[in-house]
Amino acid sequence: MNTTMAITLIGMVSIAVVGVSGRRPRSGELGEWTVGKRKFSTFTTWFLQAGEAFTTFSFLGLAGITFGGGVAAAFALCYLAINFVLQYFTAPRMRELGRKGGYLTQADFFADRYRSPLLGKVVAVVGAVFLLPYLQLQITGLGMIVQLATGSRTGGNLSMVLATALTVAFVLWSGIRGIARVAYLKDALMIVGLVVLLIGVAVSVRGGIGGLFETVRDSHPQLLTFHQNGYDATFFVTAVIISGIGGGLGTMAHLWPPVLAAVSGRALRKNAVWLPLYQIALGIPVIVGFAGILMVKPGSPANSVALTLAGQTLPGWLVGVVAVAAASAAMVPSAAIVVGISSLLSRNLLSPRNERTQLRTNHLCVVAAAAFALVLGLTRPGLLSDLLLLTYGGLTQLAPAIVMGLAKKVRLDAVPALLGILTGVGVLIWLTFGSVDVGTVDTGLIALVPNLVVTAVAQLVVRSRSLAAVPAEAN
Amino acid sequence: MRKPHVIWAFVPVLAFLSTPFLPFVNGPHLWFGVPSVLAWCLLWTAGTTASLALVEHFSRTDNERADREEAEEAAA
Repeated sequence: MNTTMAITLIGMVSIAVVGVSGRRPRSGELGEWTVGKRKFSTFTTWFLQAGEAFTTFSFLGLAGITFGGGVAAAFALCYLAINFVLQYFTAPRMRELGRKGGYLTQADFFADRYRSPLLGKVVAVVGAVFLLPYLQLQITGLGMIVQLATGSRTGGNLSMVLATALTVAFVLWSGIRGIARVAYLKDALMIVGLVVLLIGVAVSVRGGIGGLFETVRDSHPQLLTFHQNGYDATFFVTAVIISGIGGGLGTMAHLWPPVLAAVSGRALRKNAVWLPLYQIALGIPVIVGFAGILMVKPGSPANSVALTLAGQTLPGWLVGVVAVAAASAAMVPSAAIVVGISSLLSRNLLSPRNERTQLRTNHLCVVAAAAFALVLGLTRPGLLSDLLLLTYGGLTQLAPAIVMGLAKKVRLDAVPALLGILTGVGVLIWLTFGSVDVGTVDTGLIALVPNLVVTAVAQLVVRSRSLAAVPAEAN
Repeated sequence: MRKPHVIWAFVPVLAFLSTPFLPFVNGPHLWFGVPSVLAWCLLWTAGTTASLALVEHFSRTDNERADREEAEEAAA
């Protein structure tokens, strides 16, 4: 075992130990496990919310997009900032409704606001199905990180198993408190990892960062603009809108527990104000991706650029530090996603009556979801990749119903909301798998149009029928 | 609109979405040594904090009242 591998494994175990230490005395309630006592401070909520933004995508994907598409990768900075603009208004309201209604999950919100357990169940299924490939993405991303850092495929697979087992262990043991504890460590590691990588690149490129961009401007000027195939203005605008809506309106179930656990609306507003500054760190993987254009062999797998550069520019032990940082960026979101999936399934779909049985069912769902994602990640890594194409666009189809549900008085009925969601998801599936050429327009955004039309028409029908029924009943 | 100061929150959103349509941004230019598009997006990411801080400042009275009411409700 080489130094990099040893540091990576020790780092992963240390992350889990920190997670286990977050446990409070056993309460036996799903509520305590999922949202604590709804008393998380601004500080804790900050790290939980920031943890959702920095994932394996920050390390692998962003540098990879830059490698192929240059400045188009800046779309991530834009949509994350828009997420916070929307969250400034929506998150305090979600928390307020959650406290009054005792919500633990996103589906609780739907079931309560629309007075429809059926809608809650449908949302639970949609949420769990679309989050599963996202979980697998984190696990396979972690395996790839370790494989690239150590050069060992076996090491990559072993670390996937180890990281999944460790994540499941600390999530079962400590719930959201464990995730919060690990999130502090993860952010510290991540900042260190990114800065180390930036310094490594800066000293390796002729002329430093300034020289790097002058060379790229002279040799690949198109990479500094949106005049590229696949990465044009349409791609940028539609991707920013759909991803901005997705994160800002709470369409992903795993984003709800940190919001529901916050002590006050003020804590969430303060975080929404200041978190964009934190996202500036995402400029580093973009710079690293540009360095890859000059330093990594053309045609290399895009997602491997950041760690290939780490291997080229840093000593083995520092590559290990970067790998641990990247591994933590997979483990924390994985833990949050597992909590999101398991609570949806146990509370909203299976719904055992007894509190203790609900917690036990939830824990079984944690193990089942993580094991399923791991097994598919190891044996059939491509199986869920198609489904992943639907994750963002599919979950965004919940956005209209969420917005209507946040209003003081809900002016949308459950059936129109349900029909809109199903139409949006159906159109998205057709666009994605039906080989429909939509150019670089985001398919999720296109699917939102029929979603809104069906929702509005169905609501008009429901209203007109209920108005017609009133005089009949009066007679 | 009942709370006109909310408009400040959407200034950075507009700035982000206009990125590809501004010739002085969407071109092979370098600002402060980095690509103009990247610099523009980083500046407006910081600008998002500034604009939300402005909204928070103008909404302080309303928000404080809402927070106080909620705390009283929770205590009761």
